Amino acid sequence: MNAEDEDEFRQFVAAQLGPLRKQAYLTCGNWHTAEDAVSNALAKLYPRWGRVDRPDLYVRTMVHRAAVSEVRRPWRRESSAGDAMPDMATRDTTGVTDEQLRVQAALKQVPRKQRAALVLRFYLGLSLEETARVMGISLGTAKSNTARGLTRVRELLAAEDIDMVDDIEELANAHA
Amino acid sequence: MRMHDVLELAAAHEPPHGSTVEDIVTRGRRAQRVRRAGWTGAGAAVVAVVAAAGLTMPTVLPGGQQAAAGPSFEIPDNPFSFTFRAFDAGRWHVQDPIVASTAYQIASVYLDGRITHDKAVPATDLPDPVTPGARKREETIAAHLTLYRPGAFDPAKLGGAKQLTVDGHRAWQFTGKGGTDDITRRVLAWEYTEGGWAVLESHSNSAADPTDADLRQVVAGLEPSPATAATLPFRMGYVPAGYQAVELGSGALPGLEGIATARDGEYGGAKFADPAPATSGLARPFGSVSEAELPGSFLVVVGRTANSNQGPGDATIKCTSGFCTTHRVDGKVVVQVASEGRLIDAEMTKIIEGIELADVDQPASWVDAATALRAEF
Repeated sequence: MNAEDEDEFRQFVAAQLGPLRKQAYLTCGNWHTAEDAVSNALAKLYPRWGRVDRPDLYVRTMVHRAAVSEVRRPWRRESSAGDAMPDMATRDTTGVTDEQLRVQAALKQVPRKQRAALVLRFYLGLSLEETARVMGISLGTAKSNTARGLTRVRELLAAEDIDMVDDIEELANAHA
Repeated sequence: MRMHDVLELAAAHEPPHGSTVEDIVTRGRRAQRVRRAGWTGAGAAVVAVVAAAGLTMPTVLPGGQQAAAGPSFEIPDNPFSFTFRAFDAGRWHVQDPIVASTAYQIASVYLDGRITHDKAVPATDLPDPVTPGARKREETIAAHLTLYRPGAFDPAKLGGAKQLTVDGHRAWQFTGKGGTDDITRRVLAWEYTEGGWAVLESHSNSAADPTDADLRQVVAGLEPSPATAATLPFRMGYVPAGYQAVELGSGALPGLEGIATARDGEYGGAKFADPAPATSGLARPFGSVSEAELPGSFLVVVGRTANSNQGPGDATIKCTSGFCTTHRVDGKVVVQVASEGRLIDAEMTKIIEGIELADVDQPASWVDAATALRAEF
């Protein structure tokens, strides 16, 4: 890689590092795992830089796979998810708000594919087509994962007395 | 609150980044060098290391077509059986097999001088993940030996492997990149009995250790033992129609997950599938590492509550996110059914209710696996 390409790569990493870590964390529920997933994915991207048509989607796909692969292991999944997303909301002692704990606990109850779809659609702002591509699923499955996930989050947060805005645009995005 | 705000809140209070942009560029450059090298230097390194150490090399001939040689192994009708025992070979320490399936049995393998992380340790004992390079100081390996039943393994599916003969056995050997760029994966498959293949696989964070020659030392050490039926600390009272037991862990979780956590002290588990996976033409164990990768399956695990975050708890059955959990033996034992949402909660609850435990601390009291899993062979 020449110096100019490497500078471009640096700028890409600097811009993507934070969002990718959060994507991985929201998918797997563990910051350590998220850190590993993102740094591995970006290091793998380096030798392919300039030869991948959409490096943003390429690296998000790798991060998604790494995060889901980690979270799928049933026994480890429970342990790793438990590091950061407690089963029960407990009193705030570290600057983390009760509301954050309740939101994390609610998200933990959303099936992981639905949660991953929500992260890609509403946190990273990917289109439905891009979400399907990153998750390696069909457009229809991406659509249903998004819609069901959104419905589930609304139900769970309502039970916690946290209201979500009935955003018509958001609902439309889930189905379009 | 909008969905974006919900997710932003959940990920708030992010810890400091462990990797900087420069760390990643450095790792990327290393990955590029590794790709360019194409691992072609490994062969020469093997010869040098073995000669320096004064080790005895197994007989290795290129491109052999010999039939299986060596001692005769029993192939019992009941595949939930173990037909070899623990043995040592050079620096290798092959353990007793703990996983059995309709197509293979698997044992953990350890290597002197390298650490295998198959036992939970307190978080305080782990390398600090936010300190760049901290994990590099550990010399790690994850290795296992799989004995496939005759006809179950297809060595032709080992892409990029070279064919050879080791100690009179037809063999294939592969070296390549593991799950991450710093991991080297080595596979040695040899025909231990007519049509039956043994596969030693290692994932090391050193490209130089173990060597191909190291792997070949295990070939001569593998010997048959009288077939012993695998046992489990539980008995299934109910299995949904159409599902068959396909894999188990005795004193461990089933599958490679059981090998990855072999010294965690779990009691046992089993995987059921509908349809059952093919028992021929395999290149790796069913579903790789996770039950999610075996289509149409559900998983039963009986483990230590202390190892799980689904506890402590009582005998109440709780279901969430595609799995149901209960606790037995004064809360010390956790029993879980996980189906990734393939089974409804009521069905998983019925399965859990039907599980009868033996004395988990007395393996002598455990139940023959085929009986425990309602399997017919």
